[in-house]
Amino acid sequence: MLRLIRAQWPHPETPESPVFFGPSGLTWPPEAPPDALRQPEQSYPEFLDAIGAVGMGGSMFPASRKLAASQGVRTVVINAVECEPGTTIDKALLLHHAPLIQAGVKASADACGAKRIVIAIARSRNLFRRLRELYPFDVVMMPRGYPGGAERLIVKKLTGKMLPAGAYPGQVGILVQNVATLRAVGRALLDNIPVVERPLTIAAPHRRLHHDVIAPVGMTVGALLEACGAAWDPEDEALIAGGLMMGRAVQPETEITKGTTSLLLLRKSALIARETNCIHCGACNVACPLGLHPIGIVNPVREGQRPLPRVVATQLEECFLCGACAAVCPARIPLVKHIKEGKACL
Amino acid sequence: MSVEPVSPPELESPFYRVGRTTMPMAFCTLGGLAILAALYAAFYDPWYMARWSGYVLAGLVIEALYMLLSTGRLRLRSGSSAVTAAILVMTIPANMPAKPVLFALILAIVLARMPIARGGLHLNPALVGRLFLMIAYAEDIVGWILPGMDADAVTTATPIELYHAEEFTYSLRDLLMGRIGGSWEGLYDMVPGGPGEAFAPVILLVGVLLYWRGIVAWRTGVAFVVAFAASCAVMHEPVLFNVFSGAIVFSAVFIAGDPKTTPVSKGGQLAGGIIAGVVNAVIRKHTYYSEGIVFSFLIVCLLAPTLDRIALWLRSRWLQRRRLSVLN
Repeated sequence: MLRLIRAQWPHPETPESPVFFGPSGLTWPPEAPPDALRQPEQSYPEFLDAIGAVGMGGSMFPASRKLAASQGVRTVVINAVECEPGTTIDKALLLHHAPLIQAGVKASADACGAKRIVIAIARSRNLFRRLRELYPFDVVMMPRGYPGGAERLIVKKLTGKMLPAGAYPGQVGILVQNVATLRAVGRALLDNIPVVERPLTIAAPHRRLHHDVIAPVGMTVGALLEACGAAWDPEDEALIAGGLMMGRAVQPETEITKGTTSLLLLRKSALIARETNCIHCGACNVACPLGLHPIGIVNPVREGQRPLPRVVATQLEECFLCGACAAVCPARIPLVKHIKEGKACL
Repeated sequence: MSVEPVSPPELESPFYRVGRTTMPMAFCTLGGLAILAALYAAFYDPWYMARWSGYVLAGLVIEALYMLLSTGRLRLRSGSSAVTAAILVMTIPANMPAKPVLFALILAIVLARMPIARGGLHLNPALVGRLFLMIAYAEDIVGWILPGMDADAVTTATPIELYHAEEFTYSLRDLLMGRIGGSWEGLYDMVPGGPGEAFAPVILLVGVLLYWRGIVAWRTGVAFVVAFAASCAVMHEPVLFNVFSGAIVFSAVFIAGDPKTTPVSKGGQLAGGIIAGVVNAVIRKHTYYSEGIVFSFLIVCLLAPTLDRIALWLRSRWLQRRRLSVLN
């Protein structure tokens, strides 16, 4: 049975509409030009490349290539599970930018020949009811908790099959797209604005600060925080981009990219963990959503075994670095770091 | 031009952690054991709690001294020595002299907690300590005498030794309530053994509580009890009497629940529990020992790295097959 991580992080179940925040001197939100971005002779993948559409769930994989690998699929899934604790931007977009998302997903479904559109959300009755009113699509509820929004888990929920490493959802007839990606496509189709906006969540739980905003791609993190009135204290706080579980520490000079899903201000004291010896409790095995043996594959990496045994390499290839194993480890072993080292050796 | 983010070396994702760290886990387990020790003190031996606390403290002192000698710093490694001491003391007679117990503690904490092979082989320290007592102080370890009792009449703690010799079965209700006592044919006075052999329902409750708080894993313990019960049934032994007498329930929670010395993998844990259960039932039925916890779980400790390797190999094979079936 899959045991997901349930984070204690206060955030609204049905968030307010995201607010546009841009640097002074820039027209923001951008004004919609009268000329359509999509040219009549242009194919849909070419259009996606022209507007700069990428996977905005964090991967930044070119949307046109994903679509090309998904020709002939039966179902398009709008992935709004958003399992990273405290991140609510996808829900905010689903609730308040429905016309853009509908335009984006219908274009994707038409382009790949899909007949069915499904919205995947984390279990929430309120959100389910609201989405049924806003959208003419089926809504599938995933278990709440991390990493419930992983593409492979959504595919498993819909098809009953867990995708192995190296396989695309398109191979089992499914295209999974992030809410922000579909909104960006809809924005280009309806408002003629290319992918220059990045919707994201800004949160600082210790200050009870939580904003869903839309910022220009390329704006610096520091400027955005200043515009939102969320000053950063470099002594006590760390700046994390991309979520608690899979994000990374950034600096104020770092620019917002199309893959920046959230900006979090967290107390440094809560983040630094002292590693102790493994007590062999097996918590990492229980937490792994793929049923892998994290400590079993990390030990040969740490011991410097090269080349890595085949049994270890197989499991390393499967791991998608969700970090659930490291989050539950009572010895605070940086399992993800070692798994990344191992993956680099393959 | 985008600026490459500078990641401070100490900040690695995930930035969110759940559950306890190792030292609080050890102290939660100790709390569970303290409940049993307090019950035993309340029902049978008012001074037991003081002696138990003294041994637990001794365990911590031995660990701190060991750390001072090996690392040059006076600190605790994980606090698990206190748990080792508590478990060891609860599986031996309450009136055991202090000197052998301290020897056993030193042996358990200093020697048995070191990995004895490159493959990460660990022996359960409490069981190693008990094995030492069984060999070096054989007379003391079977001397289940409470203060003030007539030594000539006392032979057994809980009814398993008597059952082993005379097929005498104790009332299951009294066994569950921890009311060990009375005599048999005027020859055998029955006394409660260590707290590890009384109050089975309370031990079970503590076990469930520890599992619920994420302190112990359930697979090894449950597999152990189920396999033991099934083996007893196959060998035409009374199942409930065997499960609730002796240290079966205590071992299922506190010995099988010891993460360091049992397999890590889910499959390995189940296999380890089954092996321990079957071996223990066979020892009870077919050898001169009335209980085989020490031997059955030390066998599991020896097999644990192998069981984990087999589980890893099986999982990888299954992943390879699945990949082939989906990609082709």
